[in-house]
Amino acid sequence: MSTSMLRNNIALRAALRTAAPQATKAFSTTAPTRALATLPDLPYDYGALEPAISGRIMELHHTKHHQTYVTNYNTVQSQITDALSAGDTAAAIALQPALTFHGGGNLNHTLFFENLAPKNQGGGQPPSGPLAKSIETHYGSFEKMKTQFVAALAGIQGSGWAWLVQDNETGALGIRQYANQDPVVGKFSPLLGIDAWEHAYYLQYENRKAEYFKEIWGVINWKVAEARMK
Amino acid sequence: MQFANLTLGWILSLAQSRLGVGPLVQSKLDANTSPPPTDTTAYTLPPLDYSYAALEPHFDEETMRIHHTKHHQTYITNLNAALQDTSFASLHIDDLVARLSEVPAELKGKVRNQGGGHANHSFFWKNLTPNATALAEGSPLHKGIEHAFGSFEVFQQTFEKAATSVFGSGWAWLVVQEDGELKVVTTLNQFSPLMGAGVVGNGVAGFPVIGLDVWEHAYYLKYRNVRPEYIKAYWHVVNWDFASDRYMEARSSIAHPEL
Repeated sequence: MSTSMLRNNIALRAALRTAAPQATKAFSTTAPTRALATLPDLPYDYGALEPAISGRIMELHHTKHHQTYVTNYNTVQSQITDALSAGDTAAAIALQPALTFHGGGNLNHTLFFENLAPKNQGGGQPPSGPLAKSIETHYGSFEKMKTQFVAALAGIQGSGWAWLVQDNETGALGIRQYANQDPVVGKFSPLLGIDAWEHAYYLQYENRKAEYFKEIWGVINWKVAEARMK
Repeated sequence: MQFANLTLGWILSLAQSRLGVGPLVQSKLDANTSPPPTDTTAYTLPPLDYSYAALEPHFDEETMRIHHTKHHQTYITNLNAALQDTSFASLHIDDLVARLSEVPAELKGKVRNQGGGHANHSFFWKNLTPNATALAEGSPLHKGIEHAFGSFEVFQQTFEKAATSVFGSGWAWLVVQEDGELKVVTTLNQFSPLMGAGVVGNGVAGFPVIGLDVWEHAYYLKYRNVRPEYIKAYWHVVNWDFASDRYMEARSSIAHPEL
């Protein structure tokens, strides 16, 4: 598929934006209102991260995988709201795995696409401000941090993510693995995430995930990661 | 605890009996033209009984090739590396995964993941065939499925739903449980029902009759994110002869089956 075809989907994406469901308010005073999630736009074209990540993968990852998490997250929200409104605690709790999976999937992919950038938008440029200092403090050097991050990615069994996180209490940096679509919540805040699910690389790298884990550093948006620091 | 031991003992006896299998399975093995493995100190990649393209258009050639020569091989390579200073590799792989409790603590995780991968994929290739025929109504397995699910259609729907709803990587299985009943279960990553209740829980432990890999690498090249289409395609390549043999093997080990 040529990249010009991918660039021309700007019109398609604009059309999708206008067709996206708007947030609705419930009229009942007892039922809680909820905001419908919508698929966030990418700040770059699908082909813009090549050769690190192919345009074909970016388009599928965004329009199929991320969109499905958005759609299913909205469904789960609706189901949980109904259960809570009906006072059905058991039903609401039974929906927790689905909430974690689809809500986590939406969160994770939103953050992920934001922390990638084409080279001409700063992708791959190492951090220079407070994040750089913090990385040096905690890992000794940027390269040592990368080595640990790649090891974390390589060690994931099955589907999951690796994140550079910040401890909410101490501010310390950490690298953590999260299974499936478990989001970074609670004790830690997400700074930078890399998707290690097979769909994130398979069409281009097949089973050679080590190559993907190496090439993706060329399109990491460290400015966004730094802006997430507290 | 006692139930867990009973289940594990039953699975172990089944796994061990595979080394000297019953007449039904033996006749199938005799028909297999591939040579027996000669290296008993390391696991080796079992050859497929069919070409990589043979399952087209349901399972594409490229996926079969990469799945077998890369993914399955990697599990075997990593497993052998983990076990190199032990003699566990002399065990049949189904035996090894049933006996995870005997593996040293520092190796257990690796053996569970890589050994599970080897066991699951070895089973999977046998579970597939280019010459799929419908499971005969009136056959013991068909009767067992009807008994457990009400009808073959309900079983298929149950299996499809389970395979669709695995959150992440894993497998969907039809297993024979300790009481002889059939059940649809799922496992995450490379867990296997053969690992026993102590590892996968009472509700999941059992002897696999059919199994479907729902890791993305099993279907992504052809089916992309549309896992349900891949699951539907699976029904065209299920080896019901092999499944029936597995069912009879499990049932013959049960003292007092309900049916």
